[in-house]
Amino acid sequence: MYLDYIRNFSIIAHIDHGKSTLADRFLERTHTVSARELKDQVLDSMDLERERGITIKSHAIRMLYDAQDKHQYVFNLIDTPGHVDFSYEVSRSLAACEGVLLVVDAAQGVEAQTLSNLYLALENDLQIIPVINKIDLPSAQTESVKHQLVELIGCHEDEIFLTSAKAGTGIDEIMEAIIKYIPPPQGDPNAKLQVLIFDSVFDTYRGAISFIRIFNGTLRKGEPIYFFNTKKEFEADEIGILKLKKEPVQELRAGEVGYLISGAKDVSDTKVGDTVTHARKGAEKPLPGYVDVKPMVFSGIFPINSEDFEDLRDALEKLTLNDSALSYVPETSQALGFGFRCGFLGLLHMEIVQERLEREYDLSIINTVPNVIYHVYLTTGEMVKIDNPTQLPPPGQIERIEEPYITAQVLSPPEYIGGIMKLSQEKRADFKSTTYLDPSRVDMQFDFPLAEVIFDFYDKLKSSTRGYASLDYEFNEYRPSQLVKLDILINGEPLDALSTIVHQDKAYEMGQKLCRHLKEVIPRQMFEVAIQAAIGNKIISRQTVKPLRKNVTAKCYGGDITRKRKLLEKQKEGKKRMKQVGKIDIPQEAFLAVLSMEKED
Amino acid sequence: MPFNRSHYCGLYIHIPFCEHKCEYCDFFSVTDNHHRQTFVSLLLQEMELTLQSTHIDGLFDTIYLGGGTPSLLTEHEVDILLQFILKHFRMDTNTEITMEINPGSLTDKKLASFRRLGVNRLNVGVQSFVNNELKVLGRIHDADKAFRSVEAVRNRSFDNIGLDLIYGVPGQTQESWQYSLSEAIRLQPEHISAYNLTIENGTPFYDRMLKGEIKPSGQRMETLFFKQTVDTLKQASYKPYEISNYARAPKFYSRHNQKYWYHIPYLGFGPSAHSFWNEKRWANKSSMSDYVFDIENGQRPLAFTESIDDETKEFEYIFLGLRTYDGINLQKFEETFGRAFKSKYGDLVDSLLLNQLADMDQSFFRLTQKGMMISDEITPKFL
Repeated sequence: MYLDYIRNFSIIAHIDHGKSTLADRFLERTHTVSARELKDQVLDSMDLERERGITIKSHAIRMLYDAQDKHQYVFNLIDTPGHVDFSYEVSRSLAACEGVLLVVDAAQGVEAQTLSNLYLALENDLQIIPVINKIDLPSAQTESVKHQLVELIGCHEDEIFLTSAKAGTGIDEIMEAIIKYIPPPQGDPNAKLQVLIFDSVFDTYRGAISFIRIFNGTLRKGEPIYFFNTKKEFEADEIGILKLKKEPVQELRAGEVGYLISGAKDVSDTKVGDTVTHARKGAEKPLPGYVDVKPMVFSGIFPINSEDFEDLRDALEKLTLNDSALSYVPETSQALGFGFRCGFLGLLHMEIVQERLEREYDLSIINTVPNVIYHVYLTTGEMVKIDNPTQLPPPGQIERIEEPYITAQVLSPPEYIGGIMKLSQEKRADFKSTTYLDPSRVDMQFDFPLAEVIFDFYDKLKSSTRGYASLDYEFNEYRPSQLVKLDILINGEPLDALSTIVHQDKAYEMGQKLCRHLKEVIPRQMFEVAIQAAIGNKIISRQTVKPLRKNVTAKCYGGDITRKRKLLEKQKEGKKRMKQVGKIDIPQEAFLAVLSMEKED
Repeated sequence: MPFNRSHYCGLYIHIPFCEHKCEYCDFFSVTDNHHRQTFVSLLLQEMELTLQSTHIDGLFDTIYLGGGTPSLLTEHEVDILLQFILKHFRMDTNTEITMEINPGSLTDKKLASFRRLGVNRLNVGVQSFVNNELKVLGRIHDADKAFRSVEAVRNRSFDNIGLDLIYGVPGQTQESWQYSLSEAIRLQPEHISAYNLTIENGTPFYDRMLKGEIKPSGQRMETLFFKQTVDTLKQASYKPYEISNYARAPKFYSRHNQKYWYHIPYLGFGPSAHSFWNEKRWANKSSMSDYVFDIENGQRPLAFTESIDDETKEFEYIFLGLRTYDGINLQKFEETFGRAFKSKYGDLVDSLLLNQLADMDQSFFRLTQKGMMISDEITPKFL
């Protein structure tokens, strides 16, 4: 039976623990890619991903492995994104596998990210093959990491594979283990069609391209197909397998992994986690596990030059073709004019969108301070969801405000417990529990207001633990909090884009910091600039940017008016990177003051 | 001509030779005398080339000999030059002929001959009456020589003398600046230019600043110097009429320099000289060898030409006008640009008025002293 010779698996690893290098070795050994063709980290295709050393979008690749038992096996390696913002996509990629390689760096040990992905793998009932990588590093603590793994997954020490993916040692053993330990896929090629979409990307020429795993039935080229969750019908225009390039085939059978091009224009039609079946005589039920992912973090994106508004709209539209988790609706700010309120999975997702807008679409944008969705219960009994501080109703109409809490897991060496506890208190966390995974690693659980975590919590955690702690979190529930709206006024006028919702106990300190910080970033101008922080009508802090005293060219050189004019034009050009609010030129960084200010302390 | 201002054209002649290049100077000048002997004849050839290629029919009423050090020219050379100009350009009978002179290289005899040849206004590059400052600036004269040369000029019956001073010199104090101002006032020149030192990229000063050898005096001091200058000179009955220019009476305003500020056509000859003519600006190359090469090959030595479109012209009109104490003539603005100044720039005008950065009456919109001091911040807002 063909199914016996297929293995679908994924690699779970923390950033830099060697996932990509290990994948590269597999590609080499199976002659999928020659060493010469092999660029570093073939699987990461977006520039941004490579720069940040993370995989944002998952992809898959098919290899043919000639095993020691003289059979040829099809290996489908399904890559997973490596950041907490994208954990749903990870879960869908894992759902397409029967097993995973759990790769841990011999010097770093188990990290929170690895752990949470491991739990996802266990939830999906996957076979786990533990691998310790980088065993040749001088700082390797292979024995201790072995203990961690034994604790964690209950394996025996001798079941752990040791490798140096970089040097290429231990690779063959792992490939044989994949055959031996990871079960072949189940499924019936003659049953009704059930296809899982574990990823979707947008291609300018082809529209949405879905990466799929067939669980049951057989999908043939040209067949009419139906998408369960979006309830759309398309045709399987092209199906194929994923080598380094896409290779069309006539059919994909149960157990196989490949791609599907269906004429769906954008990825909102081909959502990750959705099930595809035949349009006629299709399966009655979709595969389990579909979740419509919702943005957790919101921020305004405004063009610096108002005439770029339409370009920004086009750019966002194009980005959503490829990124169904990104949402945007038009927003008007008194200070910043026309822009969009955008929703993101998390901060990293936000930064990626921001960078892509600037790099790929050459837009100058202002990103306002991110915030979460608040549930505001009015005195009328009604509940409104607020994703923009400026929309918060006046205090008199509010009965209570609830904010989202997450459950966070922090893994760290025990010497940093004190620092982590202190930081967590600052961030209004409720401490839940501490568990020692082994003497060198402690697992701490907290409930955090999400709003506190999206402000630089991760950076602070890293710096207070010298980079040793790792963080993972998931949404928990909404809880009531004493929250107030903090406004910033520039020369008496509220700068709506700088309003934030903060906890009452932190408002005063926050207002002061914010004013101080704005004073640093707003340059001197023609007139005095007063910066005030206010809660309601009450001014809680004030700073002044003194007016510019002198900026004048002494001489127009011997009739050389051209040069003088060009200098002034250049000056104007420089100002363009600032946003004019009223008569005040406010630099871009001011609008993210809340974020950068926190980083400063 | 109440403000010594006319709509007639101006002529600028750049004489690039210097005995020594000053540390702060950003004008084009050379210290080698390689083309010294043939220079005036090159100038004449350049004028001929221009007259052949451009229709020049305007009446001129200023000639400005700048540099460099135009006083290095011989009597004979000045004679030839002025004769040529008189013959080939339509000159007004009452033409202002200014020559910049350097106190370090001047003889009584030369002065007398220049006067005889028709030079009727002198601009003396004194810069400071404090020896230390003159040394820092790299001037070849000392304070005493500067003082005596102005007296000498006066004795040679020049009745229209301008004096150049610089403030913001590294090491300068309010006291030392006050001293220079009072010495200048004691000499009673008709005109005083007091420039804030600008440390320009490409000058020795700039390199020394980068190395940390000299320090710019900074915004705070420069503001004090500026106020001190206005106050002191006003007290001594000098009238400020442009950011850096003062005169004992409106009739002593520099007629030539006003052409730059009021969009009146002018032609410049000599390397690096600039022209404004028929809604075009052009400049000559700032290289002696390029200049010589082009002229010897029968070509005008142009570095660039640009057409000034209406929008650019309007912006120029505003930023130049706002350098003057008169400010922008509202009626003239409307006539020239077809729209009332106030209606076009209403918001900006209002906020400038509100913050006492500008003044406005029926006829003029002008910057206040406070506004003038930050005019480079204000004027780009009119773009």
